[in-house]
Amino acid sequence: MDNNRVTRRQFMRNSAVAAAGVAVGLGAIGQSNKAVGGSIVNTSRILNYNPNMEYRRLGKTNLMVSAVCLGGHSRSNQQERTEIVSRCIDAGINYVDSCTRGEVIRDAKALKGRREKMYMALSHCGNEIRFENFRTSKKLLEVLDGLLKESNQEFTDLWRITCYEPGGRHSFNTACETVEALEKAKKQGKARFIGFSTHDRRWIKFMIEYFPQVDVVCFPFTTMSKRAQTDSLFPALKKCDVGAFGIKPFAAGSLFRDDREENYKRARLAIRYILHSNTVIPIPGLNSVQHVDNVAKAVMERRKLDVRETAELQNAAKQAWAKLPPHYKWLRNWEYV
Amino acid sequence: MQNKQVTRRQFMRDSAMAAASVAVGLGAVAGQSTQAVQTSKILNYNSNMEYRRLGKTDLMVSAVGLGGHSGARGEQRRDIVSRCIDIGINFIDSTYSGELQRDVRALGKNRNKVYLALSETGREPRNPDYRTAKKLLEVLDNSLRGSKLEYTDLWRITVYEPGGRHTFNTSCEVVEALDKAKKQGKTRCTGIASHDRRWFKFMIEYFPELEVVLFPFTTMSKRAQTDSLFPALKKRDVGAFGIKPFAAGSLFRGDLKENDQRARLAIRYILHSDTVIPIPGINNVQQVDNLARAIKERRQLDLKEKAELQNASKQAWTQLPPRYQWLRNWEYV
Repeated sequence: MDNNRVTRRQFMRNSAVAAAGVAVGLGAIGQSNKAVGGSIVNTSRILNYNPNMEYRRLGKTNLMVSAVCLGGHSRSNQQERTEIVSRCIDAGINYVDSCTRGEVIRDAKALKGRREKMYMALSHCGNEIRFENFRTSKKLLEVLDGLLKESNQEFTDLWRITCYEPGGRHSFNTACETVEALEKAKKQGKARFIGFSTHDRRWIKFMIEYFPQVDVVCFPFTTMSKRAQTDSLFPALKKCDVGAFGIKPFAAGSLFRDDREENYKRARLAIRYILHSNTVIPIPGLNSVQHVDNVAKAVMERRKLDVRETAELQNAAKQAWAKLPPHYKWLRNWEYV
Repeated sequence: MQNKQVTRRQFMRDSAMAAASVAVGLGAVAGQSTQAVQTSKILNYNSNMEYRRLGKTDLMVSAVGLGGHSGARGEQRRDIVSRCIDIGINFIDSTYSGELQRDVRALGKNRNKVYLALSETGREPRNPDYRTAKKLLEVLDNSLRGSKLEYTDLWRITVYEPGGRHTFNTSCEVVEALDKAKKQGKTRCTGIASHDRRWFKFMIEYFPELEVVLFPFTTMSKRAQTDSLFPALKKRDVGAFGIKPFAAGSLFRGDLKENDQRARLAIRYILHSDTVIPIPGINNVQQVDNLARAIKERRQLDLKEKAELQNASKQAWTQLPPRYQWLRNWEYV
């Protein structure tokens, strides 16, 4: 891809040859091969490559995304966000997730002129299937069109529709309409890849097993999350080769307390814990350039926590659990994934 | 099984060995089935009746069953049920406890000669208050107690006609209830009734626990060119009953003799398509005899018969009452 922004026509052509290119496997070995999967990756093919960052393959999309990405929810205004995005680009982060109309417009602006440095995902969570009026493929596609237009984008890298947190409350018909919308958008060249976000493990398993169209899912993954003994989602993700982003790595901020240095440390421990579990790519909401530097630092640290660090993180996580605001109590359901 | 009603304990033990005995395959050949079947193992066997294997339940059921909906009550129903038993029918469906109690009474000592299916439509997932496994199991217990049954042969939960409107969670609860009832020995087999083809496909593909489905199948129904339900039923080895074979009566007109002829053509058409087992609602003993006659006739319709049935079907379509318009959606299955 030569790190140039592709036009819609180009990417549709390129997608056709993508599988072949990956299968061939290429010569150069990236420094990032502390990484996962063990396969050899041509680093020149990685978007916004930085030797100090680690990159991971995002399931069947075959995108190589940075091991930590920039999440959606954050308080930043346009200028702050632009600075944060710049710092992310410096650190080798190459994916930004935007999940509301406001965020999409803000982040598209923040990326203006350097759109080729990052993949950008979008959702218009207020006008998607959580709301009754947006449960047909036709409606959803209209919303996507509107959002692309408003944010001056020709297409998005990933359209990930925001579903009910308890996704199993959606009807089968709604699931079909959602997948139909996603698939059409992909065929029309409006989304390179498609997925959805929810907090319902059993439903995610059904969705990815029943609809092979799904490329990516987003779900919560905190410092307390671990593989479930039975009915774990992990094997299903692997079998279906679906990429996974972990939202709320810091338990919606509950992991932190008043001490700034301590917080930075906890954030790094959390990122290292999640990277070590080798499942999801954490996408924290970052509120300052210092936060960006801190996650970049975490990526360069050891993955595996030692006994002392494990104890520290456990303590912090216990506190996080105790502090969890009422509207985030559901995070507890993600202890076993 | 020796045509004796089994106790719950017996049938739970028997189920364990069922697969084995089927795999062995037995000598005698019966009916049209290509597989060798021992007719002495068939409930209420009659050599003039045809029997078909009901998917993975491995039950051999008569090629025509007795549907639930019917105007007949009391003595009249007793006569109909007796005549069904005489001609070798061995499956009776009921859709709410009123029908079930009526049929249990009508059966009397003959309870051991048929498989009895039940549902309690008004207190199943169509009703928002009955969408948990716990609630559904309570309703089943009630139905069984109310009709003095120890267990049912088939608990087939009635869901929305457009089943795809049910949530994934509700689907899971329904399957959990069915599975539990089976494990507890309250039902031998599990199933669902709906009118939503795409959703059925999902249900049987995603939940291997499901053994039987019920859906509409009329004289206008045929295999769809794409996304047909048939291959999915075959692949999952799920048994299928066809409701509304006479398009809710719309197939008929004033002439009694003509109606009998049409009913036989309809039954033959459906049996020839070799997919569902029709379970018409029957209102008198003459209609039962007519079914028996249809079974003994050729399956395949000749040109004249085809034209006759097509004409009748066209008329059925135009006569269809507003509340049965959805039957049109079942032209391609």
